[in-house]
Amino acid sequence: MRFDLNFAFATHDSQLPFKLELNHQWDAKVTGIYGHSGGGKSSLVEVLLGLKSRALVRGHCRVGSALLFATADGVWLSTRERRCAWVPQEAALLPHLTSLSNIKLTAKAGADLDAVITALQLEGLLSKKPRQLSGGERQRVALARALLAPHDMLVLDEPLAALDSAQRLATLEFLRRRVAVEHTPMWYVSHRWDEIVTICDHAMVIEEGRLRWHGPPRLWVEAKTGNNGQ
Amino acid sequence: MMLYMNDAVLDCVLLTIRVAGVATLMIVVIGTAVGWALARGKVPAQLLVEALLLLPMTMPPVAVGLVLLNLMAPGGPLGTFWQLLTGERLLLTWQAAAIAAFTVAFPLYVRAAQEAFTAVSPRLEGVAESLGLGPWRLWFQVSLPLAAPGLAAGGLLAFARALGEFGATSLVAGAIAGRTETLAVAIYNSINNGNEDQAWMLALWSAALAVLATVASRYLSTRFPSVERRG
Repeated sequence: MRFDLNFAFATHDSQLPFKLELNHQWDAKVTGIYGHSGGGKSSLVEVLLGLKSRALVRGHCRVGSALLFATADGVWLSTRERRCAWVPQEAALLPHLTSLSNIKLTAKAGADLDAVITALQLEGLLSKKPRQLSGGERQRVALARALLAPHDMLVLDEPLAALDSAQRLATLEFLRRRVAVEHTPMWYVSHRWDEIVTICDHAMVIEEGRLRWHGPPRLWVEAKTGNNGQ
Repeated sequence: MMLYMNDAVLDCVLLTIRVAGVATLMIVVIGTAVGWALARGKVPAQLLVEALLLLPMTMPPVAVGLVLLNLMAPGGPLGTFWQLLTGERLLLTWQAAAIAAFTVAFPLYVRAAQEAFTAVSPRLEGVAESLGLGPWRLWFQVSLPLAAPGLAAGGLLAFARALGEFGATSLVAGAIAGRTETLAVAIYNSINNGNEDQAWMLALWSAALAVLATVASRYLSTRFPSVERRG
């Protein structure tokens, strides 16, 4: 999938001004977005999803043949029209619904509900409400909900942050296999480089609102050591 | 003091429930939509609209009654509309009392509804939208249930205010026993007529209704459990 992003996002908050600028074009199935907290990863995701105010964004974003926004031409698709199913860091399950109702919120008819529930080990959680779940369980439910929703792209923001290492590996492996057979592109945001290396074929390092490095993830270590002159 | 009931008191209690109930129903239906629109900044000239909406709460109720009296009088816009609709006049009916209660209690509910919808996490709505949830389902399955406890509390406030409405009601509905004499008006008339026992009994019935409304509101809000602000 071809991505073409060239935009600037700036808040006018005098207390906490923030600017994110990106001009990058690339081809990838799974794009990893890496960086420390506050560097701009989540802002990048929210600009893509259309969750930032239109007035604060200038530029354009194209995913494949779909133009998500082009402010100069007055193009601005709504979050719904962008069809990017999102798993935010905090899972954001609907607190008044059970896990199963959350998962089935917009599940496609005939979607592989049972397969996803089994793969993410959610069988025992289906009748529970979000407040009865641990952080990791919430993230797995949110992951299932996004995988089963109608979408042209997946956007996962730190989806495994609350999982223990065994579950993290199992879930990562499940995602890797699923991505291999599905043709929808994915953005995978993480502050853990090992996850990015495992699942992504292109990575972007975002720091202080700028693209610091991009390329195949396995080359990042070499780039870093090169930068350090070692 | 015993909470005894005679026909006149029963009529008065039932009429009060009918007036406050109909007013609250109208308030909840219209006020939920208005509160949501205000919370999402979808109203043009919002500050001015908010100030105008609060006016019936900030003005003396009897002044609100004066405005309503002119609107509901034969030849006034509301009076004429009612005449065309039912063939009868509006003033001095229980419907006039319900409109007075509606007008005075509406701002309380709208404020509560606006705050309840403002407190709904935009991220929860954003996630639901990203998953393809349409605008109506988003409203009924996400925004409304998350705002429900605040709406229930607002509904209770509005009902309590409608229950006790006196100033505007006495102007537009008068005090026709069994037809327009609500508890608040009846208490005033009983005191005026030197019938203090009757006034006390009516006051106790008012308290009983208020307690009942509070319990019902708490029960309703627990029908939407676990409304955490974070998923």
